[in-house]
Amino acid sequence: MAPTQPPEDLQRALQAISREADLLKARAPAELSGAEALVEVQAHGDLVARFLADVREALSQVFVAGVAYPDPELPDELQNLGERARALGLPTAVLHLRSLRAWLQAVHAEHAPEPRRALGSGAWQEAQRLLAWTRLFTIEHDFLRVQARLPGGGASVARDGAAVPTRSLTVWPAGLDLDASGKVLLFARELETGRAVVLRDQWTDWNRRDPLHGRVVSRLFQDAVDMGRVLSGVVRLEEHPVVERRDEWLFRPAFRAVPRPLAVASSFEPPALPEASPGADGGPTAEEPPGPLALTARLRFVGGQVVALGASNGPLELELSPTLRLTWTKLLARSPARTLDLPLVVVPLRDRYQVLQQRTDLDERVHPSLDPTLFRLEATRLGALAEVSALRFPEAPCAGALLKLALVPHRAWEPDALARLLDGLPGLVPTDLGECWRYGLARLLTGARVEPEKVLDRAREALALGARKDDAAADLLALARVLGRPEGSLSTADLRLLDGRHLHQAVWLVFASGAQDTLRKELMELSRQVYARPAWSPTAGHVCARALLLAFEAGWDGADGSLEEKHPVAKAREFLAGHLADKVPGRSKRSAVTAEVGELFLLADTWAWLTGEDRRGPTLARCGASWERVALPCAEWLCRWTLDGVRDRAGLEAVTDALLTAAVGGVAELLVQ
Amino acid sequence: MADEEPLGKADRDRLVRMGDAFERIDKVLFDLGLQGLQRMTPSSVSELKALEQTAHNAGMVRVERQVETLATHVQRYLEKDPLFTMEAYSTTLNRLWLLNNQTRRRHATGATPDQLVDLLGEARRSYEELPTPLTLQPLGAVGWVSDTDFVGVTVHFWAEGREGEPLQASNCKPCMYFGKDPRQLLDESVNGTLSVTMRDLSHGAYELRRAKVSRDGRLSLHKDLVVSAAPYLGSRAYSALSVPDWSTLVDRLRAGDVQPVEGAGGRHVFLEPARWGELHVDEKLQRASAELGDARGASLTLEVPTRAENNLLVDNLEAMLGTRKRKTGALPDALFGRATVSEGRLTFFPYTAIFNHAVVSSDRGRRRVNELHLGLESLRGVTATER
Repeated sequence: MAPTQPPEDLQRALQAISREADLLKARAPAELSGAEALVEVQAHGDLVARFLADVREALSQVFVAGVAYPDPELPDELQNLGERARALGLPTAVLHLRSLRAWLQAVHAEHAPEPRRALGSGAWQEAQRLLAWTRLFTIEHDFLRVQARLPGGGASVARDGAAVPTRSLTVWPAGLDLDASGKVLLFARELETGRAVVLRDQWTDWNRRDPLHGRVVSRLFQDAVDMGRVLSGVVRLEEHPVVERRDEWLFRPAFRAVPRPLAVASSFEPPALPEASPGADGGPTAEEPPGPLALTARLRFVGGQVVALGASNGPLELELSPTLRLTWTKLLARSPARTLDLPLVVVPLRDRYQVLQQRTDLDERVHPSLDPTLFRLEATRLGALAEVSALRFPEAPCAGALLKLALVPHRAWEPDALARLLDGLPGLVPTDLGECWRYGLARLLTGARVEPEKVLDRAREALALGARKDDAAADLLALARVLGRPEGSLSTADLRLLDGRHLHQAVWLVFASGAQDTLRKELMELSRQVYARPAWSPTAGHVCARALLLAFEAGWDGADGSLEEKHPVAKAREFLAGHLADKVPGRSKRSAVTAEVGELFLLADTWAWLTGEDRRGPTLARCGASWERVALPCAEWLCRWTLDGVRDRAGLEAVTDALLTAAVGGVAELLVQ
Repeated sequence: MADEEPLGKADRDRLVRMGDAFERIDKVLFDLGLQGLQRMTPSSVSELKALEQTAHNAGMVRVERQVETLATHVQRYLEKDPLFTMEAYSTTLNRLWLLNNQTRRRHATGATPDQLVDLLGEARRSYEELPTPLTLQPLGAVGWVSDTDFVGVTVHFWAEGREGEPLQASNCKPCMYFGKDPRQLLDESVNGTLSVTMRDLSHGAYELRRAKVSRDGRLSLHKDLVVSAAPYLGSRAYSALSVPDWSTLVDRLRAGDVQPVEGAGGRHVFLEPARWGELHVDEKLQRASAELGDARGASLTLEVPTRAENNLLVDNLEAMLGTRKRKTGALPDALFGRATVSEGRLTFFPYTAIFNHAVVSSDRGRRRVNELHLGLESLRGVTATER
């Protein structure tokens, strides 16, 4: 709507009102400070509140009656309100009240409808302006009144509730205990007094395999921290809430207090620790002080496992977690001696000691219970060992070649040596079935084809032997060739030596060399004679052979498989998945008995084949295998190898299997560097 | 502005419709003001309904909503409904007049509809995806039942880069199907796809990728959201909302509420009372209240309406402040909630109790937490963690 132009006399009146309001504003005191405004409100707040309420009431009359028919007494009321506004020092209110009065008087005086309507528009606009000012001022005034009622200054009131004890101190963290849910106990000693201190923490989002490398989201530190660096320095706590136990202080994640990790100089020496004194059973005694303690343990490799003993070879109860076993197995594997004495930092936990830290030969402090990357074996050293081991078994050149090939990803070979290794492969002539299979694997690892003419004779013979209907009619010469025994040295009783492993190798070779159509009849016969019957033992070899045959029966051609539901391998894949759940460690809670290291490789290879994954990649890891339960048996085999060498061909093959399994288990980089 | 893209036809047409709408709104308001309430008839309401449509067609959402409210007031006046108050009617009228004028002035400067969105409003909230991950820590959570019969849970967050302007995310459902207890929504997935529940989001700290945030600080819990853990900041998340005393609190409230069209209606604050009064339940006024004192001796009123959806909240306050013994035996150290000044009183509605020393909550498994959401989680079964 176009703004209303008031008649001349009204215009003059409005101008006079405006001038008066300006004069009032000029005479008004400078803007009050917050404190002055509060004093003012305390003194006159009620008056102003009543004034504002009265203005609202007057405006209500305007809205009820309408500006076309104003109450004839309203202008007087507005006049009174204007005077009150002047007395209260509110020039803007004076302006609007008197202006509204002037407009309403003009409306009242005008009788012609159209001019009356036009004047009503001016009155309406002025009423809205007055209301806007009133609303804003009321809100502001209400706030000031509320604030003026709050007492200010004066002495502080003590807070309700008991104060929580706090402490400020610097601690040296010896190590930590971490569980699967991320609950952490950080064991430390106070730098000044040596008192035992425990810091509790809760981690989210950490590298579960390697928690000390990379950042963890820590509740205690209220940040993403590098725990490896935290453990390499000291931690400062300032007024941190504490629970004080008899011999130990406990600090939990706080709401306000945040510990600060601090780096230390290279010359920093941690506080001297009390010596642990294990009891007769090798465990902590009741008198053992809490907190980190010094202890020397003797490590040995006995019966294919690491064993920890106390001084004088007495018993020692240590918490031997899978990671600790792994790191100590590697430590022994790379040590020239079969026995090691280790200076440790431990903490007593009920009936055994938890290993927090150990000192290495290079005087570093490491955490073997947490860091699976410690003490890796040198690839070049293993390469030299592989050369020696392969030379000991000239009758199994393919097994020797495969062992060396298994070290190629670890850069164990100089370029010349590697070139010789690869060039020599095609010239190898496998003899028995095992050699044929290892030759085939070696070709797979180098991305080359498996020549049927080199491997199919043994495969065919193994298939025929496996599918025999009558032991008496079995070809024992063929059996000797398959098993790599001297001809004429075997009897029908030795047919039991042909097991699932051999059948799998035979089936594997047929598919790997692309001869499945040529040997279809033999494959089908094997399937009928062995796997159509209920009583076959589900060893890894049999399971893998059966899976490949099931796929073949469904129309699979031996090329890579697929995860598609309708692919020919789907049924075979389901069959294999059921057995994986039982045999792969960590895949299900039921898999308490772990398949042998070599068997794990067979299962991983078959799975990768049937799902189209890279057969040289970490397939076993992708099947959900627990990395600890794969890494440890592989490490134990490597330790046997480095300490004792290989005594027989089976040992040579087992070490190779360990390296291959480590690769498909995704743990190779934990074992070899 | 030569290099600005020319407006599309839709926007140009909308600006024209707005221009027409300003005049029409002025005229209708003036006509109503000219005749006065006592001369209004049902056709006045019809005229306002038509005006709603005019505002709607011009995309003036805020104006449309004020017109709708004004129509309701007039309807109530005509029906002599005791819910009618002159203050509410005149306030709505004035807001509408101011909003229309403000929008017209900005429109006259050549602003585009996008540039006017703060005045025009949005019919449906729009969200913008953030280019970088958003780090959040929940400050508090509250359950509610709306007048339109929806039950919901809202979590308020500190967000990195937006300190002092909490974001909020809600999960709500119709009462007809889900009942009126907000706690039922606490353990539901936030969006039916993620395994994260509203309870999870209300504790800890998170990093969100593909986060979408609206202009008014709402966080979308859409199905493509990626949630991962982030470091918990403890008290630092509350520092921008913390007030040392109630006088400072009133100053902050005033800054948000003294606004010509519409004030903020209060704000979220973090309070650390020095003194905790006892809880009193007034059945007549249907509210539970307690006095909380600051370190300088000033008081504010903690106040909670005794509606059914607040039953757990009142129970918890009784356990905290009443004479009944509590297993934890300690008051919280702070409260997070919404403070307002209304009817001359400084009041506070608590969402969440904060404990400097974490407590163990047995709701859905034993969680160690520093915050307990008073309307959603029970103080019964909460134990201190220090032994």
